[in-house]
Amino acid sequence: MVEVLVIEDDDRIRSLVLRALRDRGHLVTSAATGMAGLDLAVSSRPDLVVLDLGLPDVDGTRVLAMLRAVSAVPVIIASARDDDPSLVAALDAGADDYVVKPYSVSQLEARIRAVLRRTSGERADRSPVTVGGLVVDAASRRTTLDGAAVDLTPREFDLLLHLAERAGEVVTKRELLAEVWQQPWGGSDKTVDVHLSWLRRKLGESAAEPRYLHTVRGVGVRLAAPDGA
Amino acid sequence: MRRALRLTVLASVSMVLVAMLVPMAVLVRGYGNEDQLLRAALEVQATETAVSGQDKGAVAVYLDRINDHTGTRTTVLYPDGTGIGPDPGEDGLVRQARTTGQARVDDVPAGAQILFPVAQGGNSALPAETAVIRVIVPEPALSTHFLKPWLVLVLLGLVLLGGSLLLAERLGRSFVGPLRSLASWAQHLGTRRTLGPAPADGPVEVRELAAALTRLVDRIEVLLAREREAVSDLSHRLRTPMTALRLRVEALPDDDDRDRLGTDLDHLQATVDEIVREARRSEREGISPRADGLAVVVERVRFWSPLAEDQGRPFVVRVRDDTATPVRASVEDLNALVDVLLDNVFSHTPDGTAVEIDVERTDEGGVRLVVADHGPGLPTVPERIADRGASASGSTGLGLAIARRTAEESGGRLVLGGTPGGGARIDVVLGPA
Repeated sequence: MVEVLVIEDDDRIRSLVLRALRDRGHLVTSAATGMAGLDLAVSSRPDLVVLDLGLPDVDGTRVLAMLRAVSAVPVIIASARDDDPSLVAALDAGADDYVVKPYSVSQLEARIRAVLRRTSGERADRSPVTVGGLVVDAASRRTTLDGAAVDLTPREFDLLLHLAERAGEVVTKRELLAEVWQQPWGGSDKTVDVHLSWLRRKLGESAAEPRYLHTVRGVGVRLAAPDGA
Repeated sequence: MRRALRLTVLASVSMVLVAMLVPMAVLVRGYGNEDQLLRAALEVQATETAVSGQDKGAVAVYLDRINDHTGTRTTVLYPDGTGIGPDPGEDGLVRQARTTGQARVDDVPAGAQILFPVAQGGNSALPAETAVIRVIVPEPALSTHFLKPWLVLVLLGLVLLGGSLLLAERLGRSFVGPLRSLASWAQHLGTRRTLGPAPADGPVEVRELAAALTRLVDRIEVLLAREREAVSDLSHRLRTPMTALRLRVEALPDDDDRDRLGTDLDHLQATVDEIVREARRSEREGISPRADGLAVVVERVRFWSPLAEDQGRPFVVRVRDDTATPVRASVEDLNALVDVLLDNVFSHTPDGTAVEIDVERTDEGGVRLVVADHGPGLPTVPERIADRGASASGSTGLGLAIARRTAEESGGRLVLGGTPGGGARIDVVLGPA
């Protein structure tokens, strides 16, 4: 059981998230202001904090800074602010992940799982993901294929990392749009397709002769080690 | 402006110089002539002394000497019709001088002529005993005499003209320099986010203009900042209830209800996202959007080529120019425009369908992009697809509306049409910056 602290000033959202996460078997506490949330984070020692940025008393970014001074608890920012500066500021201040409103509970839960997976136990320092000859290092944001460095754009790297963390599973384009592009409700599948095409080129393969990236028609895409690797 | 100033100074100084130097040249010439005549008169006096001696041989020797050494020609015409010297012939003027006994100066074809009667018979002044001394000051002698002063005058004029042109140039530079730096500052309004105050040097008027521009830009920045805050607030206020709605729909027990409401919510969300994106346009673009249209469009088109390759589509890109072509649109909007057009092709034509893309510079300095495919073509009434709201479902209508807006706000247009083979053809013109 995971203990989650939700710091959110909007009553409706707070109670809805609370109920939904409880229904999914989590132990959830909540606070409506930054200071109350900070108290709870220190006293009840949750496994993870979901933090809104637009709080009535103290801005979420400052709450995060204060929290980071006393605790290393994983923090996911859940905010209506979707501009790059807010996102970068929050991640720089020590947030582990960022989810833009409106989000769904499944999306939030997926983030919670991913963050806990990354930060728990022996993988606390985000060790590289290895799939066959492909090594994706989230900490240094570097990729190597059979020992040789692969030059990827930030978006291509995020895409590859997401697929590598779910290696062997078929990931839908919708999920990729939500997780990699932060566009859970909009965006076009073709955006994903064109980035996958670039990724294929850079990994030295093609759609006709796939090695690592396999398109599953009508469903999504799967990253797997080539046969015999 | 500098050219105009130069021409004005050239014209006015030339007029002043002509007005001053021409009378001066005439005066100099007059003085020169008089000087010549004065010298000639002295010769006349000297000759008169020689002629009074009655010895024609001595007169001839004397005349030979002075005619060799001076620029004038002196002749003595005796009353008996003989003449000693280079111009012996008598004419009416000589006879008149002899008859009246009065000296005279006349203009003759060869130059100026002095006629001086000399009475030889004691004190009588009878014409029959009067010799006439003729001194001719030839024209070339006159000119060479005042050529030097004229040259000095011309040189002085040239120096004055050059000096005033130099001054005009410096004056022009003191005007044009500040104006030019102000213009380049204004040019950068669209390209840099923070610009600082306008450069304020040079004449008072230019400084005033710079101050006025700085105030204007500051005001625009304030308005943009206010708009940014308003949009941020709008976004926040819309997203919070949307989140609550989304969470509530997710909690619905009935699968059908959840799916149906979820889909409706997706559309609503896409629309809200688009509204917020549109409202942020000025934040993205700043005061004046500007990008190298040709380079951005070509690069973005090429970005899609790996997907075409993966889908087995012939992907023909024809670029007819490679010079920098600034257009009135931001890089983000240009990328979004290309994405919309190509996404449209990739989404609505079967794999393997050929795409042809033409990019060229227009005569007006803008960029033209034509995307044509050999697919099934656009739905009927193509012109209405790109109007916002014409397509309630799917993202194509909204996407094309965004693309059309980018094209039209840049001063260009977007025209939907078909290819002879029945495919779709979208013709976009982007206006120059």
